[in-house]
Amino acid sequence: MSRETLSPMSPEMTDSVRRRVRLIILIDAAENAGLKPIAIRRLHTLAYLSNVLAPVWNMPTLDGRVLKRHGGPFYPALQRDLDHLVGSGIARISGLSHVHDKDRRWRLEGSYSLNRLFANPVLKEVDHFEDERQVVAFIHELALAFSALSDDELDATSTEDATYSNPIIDFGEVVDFGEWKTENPSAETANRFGGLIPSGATALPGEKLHLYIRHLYARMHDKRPA
Amino acid sequence: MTSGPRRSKVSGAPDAWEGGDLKATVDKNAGIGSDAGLPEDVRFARGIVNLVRSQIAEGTANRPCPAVFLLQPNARALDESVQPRRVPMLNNGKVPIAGRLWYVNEAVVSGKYLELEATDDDEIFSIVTDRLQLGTVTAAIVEHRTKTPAVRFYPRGLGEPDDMRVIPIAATVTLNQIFNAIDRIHEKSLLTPDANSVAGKLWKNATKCHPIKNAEDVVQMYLRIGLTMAFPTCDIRHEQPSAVGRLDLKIEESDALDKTDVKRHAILELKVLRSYSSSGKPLSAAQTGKWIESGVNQAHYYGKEWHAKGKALCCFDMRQEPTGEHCFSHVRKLAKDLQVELKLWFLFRSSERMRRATSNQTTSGAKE
Repeated sequence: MSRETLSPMSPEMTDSVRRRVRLIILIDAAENAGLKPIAIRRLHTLAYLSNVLAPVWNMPTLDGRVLKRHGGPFYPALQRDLDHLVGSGIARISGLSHVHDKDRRWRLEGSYSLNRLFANPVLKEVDHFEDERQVVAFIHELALAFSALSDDELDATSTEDATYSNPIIDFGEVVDFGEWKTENPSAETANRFGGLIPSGATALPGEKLHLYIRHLYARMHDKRPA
Repeated sequence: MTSGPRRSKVSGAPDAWEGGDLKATVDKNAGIGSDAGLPEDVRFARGIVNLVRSQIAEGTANRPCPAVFLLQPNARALDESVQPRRVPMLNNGKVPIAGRLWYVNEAVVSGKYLELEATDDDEIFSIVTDRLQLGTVTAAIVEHRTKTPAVRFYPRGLGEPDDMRVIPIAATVTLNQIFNAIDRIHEKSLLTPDANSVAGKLWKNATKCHPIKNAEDVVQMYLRIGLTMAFPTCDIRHEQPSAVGRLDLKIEESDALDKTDVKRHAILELKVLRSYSSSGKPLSAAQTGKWIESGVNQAHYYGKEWHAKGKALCCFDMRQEPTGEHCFSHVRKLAKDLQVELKLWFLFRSSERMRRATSNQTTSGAKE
């Protein structure tokens, strides 16, 4: 089938395939930002941020809801796809272990990296599609912004995120910012930065992502800006 | 059987995320990520310069020895027993950099370092090229043995030590210096179709003199890259919305620590002059005249609105033949009254035409 007839967003591509491609892009972006290998928890947080902040880059959200857990965002379907990527040799896992988390569940610990031999051809194919190139540009910039945080801060990002930290939503409930609900305080906040540049200029999407992450940092440290 | 997660209501923006807090973050961090989309080596060079600038402003003490930066986000250890140490928020300039080998990403917002025992240049180069086998990785060396730190940029890595340029940490930014930088961009990337990069072709059909449809966007991209390298401490902002339209390029510079202290150096309105549209439709001299006049007015309005120190209309002439600055005759007085500088760069549609024009100029110069 030609590239023209098989668009990555066409109904012919299953959600799972789309998520696996997104996962490869996420791990690639993390590695490009210096976060190699990326721990499971941080990878799910990065996936969450790529969903909740997609509107900042004028893109649709891939998955507009997530289960709120003590350990941070976690996507069971994405984890299954991640396991599949490991099984198929596209991703590698290191430092594998199990921990008992605050939700009294056994949780997998480990860190992921790409096996470039198999991942690069996928990324090369992705580069043929304009929409996917935009996704790559967005997630790469997001990962760069994310990489400015320390290891502890990377793990604590969701505790300050404007959407995930909403006190109205209890742990064990679903944070919905794009499936049934349209409110997305994280993207709203990031966009609000656009009009606050001291020179009176308007921040472009890349700058908004960095400012949003810097603001999470400031909130983690008694609201003192980085 | 387990029950699925319960749905719950999501409120709007939380109360704690209001103006003052957000403004404090922006005032401290504006400009980070404003170069998104530029080539990674350009961002890397700019990031290193701004890191050094922050260090100077913070008064961070550095030993009198070089710091080596590699555009290699994932570190390689020199010795398995000593793992690189990670530094988040590197760009705040608070962590000493000298005497260390740094692995950074293109945004230079975090990094990992190894202590460098060597202070001798040859030894440092050898560590990177021979021991680490990273001689082809884009690199920069920050020199702390001079009175003021200097940044030496190696786009093709330390394995090509002769391909090096010194990047200024502090530069005066005037319209003339901006024009000089555009002269260099023009010569390197715009002058002929052969000079265009694969991703930045300006001609749809050069033989027929048909530019591409979005030629202004492509010229703007070349200028963003070139001006960022020429003035790395500045934010080269593009496509800024305004009450009267969209401003093409704005060159501003914030203080290294206090981002509310901004120098508004210049605004540039960019126009491409065409003999034909991309589809081959002829465009008259009158249309070109109106196009130029609208550019003068736009430059004036944007400059006034942004309180820019300098304002200029920069025309990139993709017409059939170079006719010099005659195209500005009808707007000279207007531009002078509005204090808008006028500049023109001609883009040849073939290298052969460019060579012919150059030799004709030389011949007529010799006759005179």
